[in-house]
Amino acid sequence: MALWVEKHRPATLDKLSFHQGLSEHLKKLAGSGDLPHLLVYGPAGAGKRTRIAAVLREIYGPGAEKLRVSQRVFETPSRRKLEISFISSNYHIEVNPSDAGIYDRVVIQDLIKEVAQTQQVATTSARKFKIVVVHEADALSRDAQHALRRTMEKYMTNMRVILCSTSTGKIISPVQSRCLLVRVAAPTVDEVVDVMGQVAKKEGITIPPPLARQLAEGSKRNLHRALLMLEAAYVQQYPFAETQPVVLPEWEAYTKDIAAAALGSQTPARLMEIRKQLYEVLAHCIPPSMVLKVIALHLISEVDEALRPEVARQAAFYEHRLQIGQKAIVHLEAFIAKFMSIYKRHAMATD
Amino acid sequence: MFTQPTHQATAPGSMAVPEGAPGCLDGLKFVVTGEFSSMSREQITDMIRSFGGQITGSVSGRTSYLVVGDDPGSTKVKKAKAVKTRCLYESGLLALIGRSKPEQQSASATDISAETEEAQEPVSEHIAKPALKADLVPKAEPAPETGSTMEVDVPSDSVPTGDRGQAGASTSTAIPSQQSQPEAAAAVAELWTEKYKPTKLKELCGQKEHAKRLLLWLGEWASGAIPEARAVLISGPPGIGKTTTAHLVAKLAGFNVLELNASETRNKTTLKSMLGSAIGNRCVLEFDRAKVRAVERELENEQDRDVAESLRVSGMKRMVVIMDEVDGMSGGDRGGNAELIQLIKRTRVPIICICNDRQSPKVRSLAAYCEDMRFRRPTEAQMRARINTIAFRENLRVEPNAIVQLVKSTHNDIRQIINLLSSYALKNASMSYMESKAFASANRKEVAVGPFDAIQKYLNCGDNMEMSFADKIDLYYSDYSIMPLFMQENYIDSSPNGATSDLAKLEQLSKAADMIAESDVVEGRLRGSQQWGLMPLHAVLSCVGPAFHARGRRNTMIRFPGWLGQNSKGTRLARQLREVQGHMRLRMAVDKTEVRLSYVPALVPELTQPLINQGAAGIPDVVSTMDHYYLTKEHWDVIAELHMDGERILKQIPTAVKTAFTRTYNKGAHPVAFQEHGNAVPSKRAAAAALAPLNPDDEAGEDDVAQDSDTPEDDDDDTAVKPAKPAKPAAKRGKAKDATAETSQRKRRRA
Repeated sequence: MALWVEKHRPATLDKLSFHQGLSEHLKKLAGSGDLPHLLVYGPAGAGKRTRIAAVLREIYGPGAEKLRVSQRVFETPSRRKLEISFISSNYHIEVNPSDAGIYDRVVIQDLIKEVAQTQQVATTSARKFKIVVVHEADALSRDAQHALRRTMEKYMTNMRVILCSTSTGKIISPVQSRCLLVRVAAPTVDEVVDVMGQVAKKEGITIPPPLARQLAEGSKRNLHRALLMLEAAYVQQYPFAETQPVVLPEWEAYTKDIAAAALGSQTPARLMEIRKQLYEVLAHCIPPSMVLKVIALHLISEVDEALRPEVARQAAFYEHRLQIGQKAIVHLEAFIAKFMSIYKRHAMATD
Repeated sequence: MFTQPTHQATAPGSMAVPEGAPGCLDGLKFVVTGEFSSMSREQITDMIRSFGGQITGSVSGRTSYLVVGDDPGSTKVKKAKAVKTRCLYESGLLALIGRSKPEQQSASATDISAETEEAQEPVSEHIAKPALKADLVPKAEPAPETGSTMEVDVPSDSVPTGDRGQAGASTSTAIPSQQSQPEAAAAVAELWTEKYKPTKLKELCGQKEHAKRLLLWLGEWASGAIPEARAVLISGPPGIGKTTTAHLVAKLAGFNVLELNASETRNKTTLKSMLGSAIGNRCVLEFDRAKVRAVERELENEQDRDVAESLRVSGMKRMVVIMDEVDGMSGGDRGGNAELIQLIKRTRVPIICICNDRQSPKVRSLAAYCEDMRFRRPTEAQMRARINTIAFRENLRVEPNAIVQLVKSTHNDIRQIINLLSSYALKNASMSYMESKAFASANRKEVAVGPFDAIQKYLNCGDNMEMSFADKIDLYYSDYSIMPLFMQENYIDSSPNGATSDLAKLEQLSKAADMIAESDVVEGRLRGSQQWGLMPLHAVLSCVGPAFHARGRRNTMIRFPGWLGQNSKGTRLARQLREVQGHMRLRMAVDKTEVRLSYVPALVPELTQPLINQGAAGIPDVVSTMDHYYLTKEHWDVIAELHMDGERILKQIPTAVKTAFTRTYNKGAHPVAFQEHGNAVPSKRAAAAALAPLNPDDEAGEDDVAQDSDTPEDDDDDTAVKPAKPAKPAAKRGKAKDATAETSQRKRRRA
């Protein structure tokens, strides 16, 4: 039994329900016989991978959907063995080099070069080249990106690269300039509501429009999440009530509680409690920048208007530290401590 | 930025330090608070101590003066008002010292120094004279080979070239020629530590309780009985008199000592040969050979138990074995420790083992067979009398504050203090506070500091302020990988000094947190690109700086860094998440983060709600969802653990349903996304499962459910009903079931 989000995923470019202009553009590209390297970027749940899969299908036909998972062992220069799994079809290969951590360069060098150096054998294939899809390209280390740079030009006849990332900020400019940039923006709330309506129709259920809207907003225009939340709500209670509360993902609720705790009282003892909660969230694999974002947004929405710019400024400062640092907890804790002292000072001044 | 990690004077040197009469503050007790403009706090305390004053930590009725600087501690000032202690400002203190200055020396400082130089001149000439004379005499003969050369024990290059040093060196060579040889040797050949070795119990510094216990224990042996513990393990830091106590007590109890220390090889065979015979009750005799033979004859006839009596009758001493430095048994001393334990088990002679590190793994096994005696460092009060006695006998004048300083700088090591004094006495006749400080720091003893002690020093306000900036950095280097973690764990609990309101505390802590966060960035560079030159910066940002902001009183114990545990939990879950994503990848196209953020919250109800609502009847639904995503039972557990409410949700599933679920899952065949690496050869079971006629999973699941609801508890029956399974019935029984289920399930995967 598949989740709805998988079950009703559109497989072809024609069936995609939003960003029509982009779909047409991609279709023309795929049909033109020559495809540039692509850098597909956009926020989570906007439909990047769906579009990549549809492009592959457009180029190679249904054969591109026959996927298999394989594993390979790479050896690092320090003789450490790395086991990396990847998905491939006869025509393309999808890798996630960030699985290899700091050794992602080895994966890029070995695997991609290997693909690039072998020509397509199947004569029935529509194209001469294979496609390498690199997921989480923004997590690639600098070394790995530099390794990619030359490979992309040298083996142009045999291979195309599709990079998939959430933003272009962390992609070095030489790589960016070799790619066609494809931005997949998050769908608008209306579009999300629309897609939810289609899914509901296929499943034979009805959603009251206010609930659909609430879900779309609660998911922060992340289509994956919206559909998953819809299904979770369905498991919880059906038929839907109009006023049914939207259940946020549990980590988001928990993280908001942390922000509420910081607003509740500002003492060293409370700071200590918050540290425990932060540890708890981080240990459950919630990305630290997401934690900071949820906390900061909640704080900004709750504090006095005069304080908002300062809180936002501090949040941005610690977010930057978080990105260049290593131990997430110290930065989050420093942010909370800073917020507490700002907030307390402000509260005492206005009293 | 923190610009002043230590207290610094704002206007150094703005007030002249007066020349006071030495000892003018004798008997006065001072408390110092706040910061001072003309000199640092350390200089103030040094000055008070050098004039004989005593510094205490808090104000009490017996405090003579409270020295108040800028930004004083409010509790101290309040207390001082309450008990009516006189308050002094910086200028007042200087005036107090200045007033005591003897009238005749009221000339300027330069005059005084010139005067004293002049005064010293004749003295040095005086001393130099015999040296010249002596030079003529011993030149002919080479340096005496007997003890007298050993005596000085200070390498000649360490003796300064000053005239006093010259005199000292030449007198020591001159003496043998003037006095009779043996006497001179006795006078000079001994180290002070030997010379003033305690000969009575009351001369021991501290350890009196232990010494009494030891005496009682040896008394028991002497009376012929064998005590419960046949050996004693004495442990404690170096230089506090462990060996001395053991020897002294043995002597007082009338035992002969056989000492084995690290200078001997103490492996299995040598120990056996040296001690094996000794502990069999053959004793070291003090008397002539005839008597030995007589006793030996006696020994042959008598039974062990009676030997003690006979020995005492024959006027012999019994023997005690002292195994010194047992934690130093290593490398060459293979098997020595085990042998020692064996010997202790059957010894008929008391054995005293001595070690420094009670926690060392080598000693730990030994400790189980010994009575534990942990020697503590003697306090300054316990040592003062002894040091005074020694100083008096050697005609060395030591100021009381100098003793305090010596004790502190040697970490209560009496042996080192005596050694220091003996080498100091070669050149000087008296020791003041300042001199002792300079001398002790030149001969500083480095002690290994554990992270718990180190963090205490950082965060405790008093300890922190006493350290210099360099000391604080050194503390970081005691263990540079764990100290930052300790700091990060513990800074919050400290209530920063000087901060009274919650706001002030938070602001201080926030500053500390900022520095720790910054240090994390530095650490990334430091380790990431091997820029080890950044270490001092890291030391300041990770430890010294946060300690500067957060130091103060603390109410809780020092905790071990929680980051280590949390981090390993996080990385484990991250790895498992990657595995789950790897399996689900064929069905969905999202990355790990999105799996965690969106899919886990949605999957958990999907995978658990049927079990909670419908019980065993919900199992097929769950299994079909799992099969769709190529998830195994382990992944099911991981997904539940990744969910922040997972624990609470899992509790809602009845145990019976959970076991039924595990069983059902393990029975069915499941699609596998890929063969995991290193598992390429299918096991027998997997092969059997592949050969078995394929029936749809759902059907198999339902069958099992029906059967389980009939006989839910009967495990044996379960294996009997399914003869097709090549199971190991013995292993499948009872509680072992769940554990074996997991392994068998792993084998079951088909290619």
